[in-house]
Amino acid sequence: MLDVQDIHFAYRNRAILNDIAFDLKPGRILVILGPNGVGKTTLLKCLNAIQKPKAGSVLLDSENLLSLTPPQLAAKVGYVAQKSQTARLTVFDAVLMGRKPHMGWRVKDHDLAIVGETIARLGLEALSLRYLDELSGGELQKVSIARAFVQQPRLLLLDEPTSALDMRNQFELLSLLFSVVRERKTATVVTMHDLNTALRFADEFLLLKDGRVLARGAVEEISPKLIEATYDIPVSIHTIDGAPVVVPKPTETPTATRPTILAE
Amino acid sequence: MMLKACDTNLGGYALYIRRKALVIAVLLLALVPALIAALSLGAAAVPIKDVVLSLIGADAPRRSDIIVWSIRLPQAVAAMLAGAGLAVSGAAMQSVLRNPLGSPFTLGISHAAAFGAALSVMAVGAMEIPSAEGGAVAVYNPVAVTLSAFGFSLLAAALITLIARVRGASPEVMVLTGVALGSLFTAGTMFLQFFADDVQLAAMVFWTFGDTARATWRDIGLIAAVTLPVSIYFIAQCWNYNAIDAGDETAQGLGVRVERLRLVSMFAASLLTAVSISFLGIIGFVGLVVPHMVRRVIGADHRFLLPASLIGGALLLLVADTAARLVLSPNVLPVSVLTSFLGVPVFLWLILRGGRH
Repeated sequence: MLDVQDIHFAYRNRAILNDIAFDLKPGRILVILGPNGVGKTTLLKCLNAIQKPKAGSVLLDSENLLSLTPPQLAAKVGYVAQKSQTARLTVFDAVLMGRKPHMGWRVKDHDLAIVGETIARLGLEALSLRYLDELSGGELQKVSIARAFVQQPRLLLLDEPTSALDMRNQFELLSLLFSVVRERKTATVVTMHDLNTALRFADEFLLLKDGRVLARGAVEEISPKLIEATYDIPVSIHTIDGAPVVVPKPTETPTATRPTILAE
Repeated sequence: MMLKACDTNLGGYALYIRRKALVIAVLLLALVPALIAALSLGAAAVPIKDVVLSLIGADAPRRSDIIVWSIRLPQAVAAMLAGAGLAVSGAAMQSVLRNPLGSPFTLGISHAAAFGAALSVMAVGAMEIPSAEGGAVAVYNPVAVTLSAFGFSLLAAALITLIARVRGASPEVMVLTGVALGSLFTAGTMFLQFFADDVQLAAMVFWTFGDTARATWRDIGLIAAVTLPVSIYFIAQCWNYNAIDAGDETAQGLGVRVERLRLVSMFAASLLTAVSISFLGIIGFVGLVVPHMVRRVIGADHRFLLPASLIGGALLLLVADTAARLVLSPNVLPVSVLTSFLGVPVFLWLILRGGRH
């Protein structure tokens, strides 16, 4: 059980996050939503102490994560950064790195087996001996997620995990994430821009606005009003083939001018 | 089916790892003939048989014993130690500074050492009377010069560390500080050279030629005393360097104390460089080029890159040192002249050939 209490974060006296509090049960996915620059990534980084909050605590099974040493923390919390760098390292080695918090200097067969299985599960077998600097952005993103999976954390933090993936890969990866999280009972916090994907795969949402929690709850409870309050744009929410779809409804529609431009 | 895919996965990986281990083994084996050649070749050639006999302590001609143990072996061991130390420092620096130009030279360490040497030549060394047998080499007081060079390189390292601590140990801060310090110390050296007389000037310039023949067994012992623990530290951090290559945040997420690792590695690499250049003079390019060469062959996995750089650096400098003794025989070139002459074309070739990453 993740219990986040009163997180405050300031960057050189400029307050970014105030009074952030929420909880999350194991095996559930929480999506953090909010406009650009509201502090979604910062909040995620506060949860595993990459950024040190000014106040507040992050309790995972009643243990305060913020007072752990980095290696202790890494054994419990997995983090997938928004951007990662490439190196002349194979996919297999890059994923194997996720076992680092659990292994010593020597790699055990057990670690290799976990990595092999995860690579197969994410459909990366064909790439496993390719160098990272030869991969596409989407493939790289899959590698980062595979690394977090082999870390076998109890709390998984994902920052825009599918931003570089095409529709099919996005769908497949999130479905896989969904089942892995359920199966291992991992509490998962994810940031995302695509509202439709977020509402489809997450269990709960947290809306951030001006550094504060505007609302949180189960995704079924999200309303056009809340989304408008967060993003300052009127929307309607429809259900198409069982999936919730958010449609923006700007007051002035720009579509009317488009055909004229094309006709020129 | 899933299991099968996973098995071929692991099999392929095991093969791949074995290939890397093989490259390291080959490098290590190549050291043996390189060492024997280094001991045998030179103005006074020693037959290979006598070299081997002398090395294993068997009954070799007295002349060979003296040449091998008193002249060639210290020089060869100094070359191997310095090459290994410079190359492994370069590999570690390139990782923590996230910069392909990273090497302790980028950080102004060698400039600081040169300044330290020049300063001591001005202050103390030049008073020494040139001795009859030593010629130009004995113009300065080697102990004072070495100590001063070492002191100033440590000062440079300490300054960079200090500024990085205050400003945050980001690669940019460290590289920029290093470049700035490098040019400060270069200016200082030029200032001293401007006011030096011919003998002092000759001594200053002579010192900067990195030359492995300067090392005595005692010097070698001191170099080894630093090289060994620092190399072990670097290799012990191999997973952390791999993690840093994936990005600072990813590394932090994997439990790496990124800033601390960056500071300690930087300081350790500077120390390692400082100790070899203070005793031997400036040997450029090994620290920069060897890790790049090795990376082309076995990739950037630091579990293999660091040991391979260590051995590759030793091998390269040993071969270059032997070559420096032979190219203009009976004249002997300082090895530093040759490393750059050899290093630059090889380096450019690697860049051109490896255009697609």
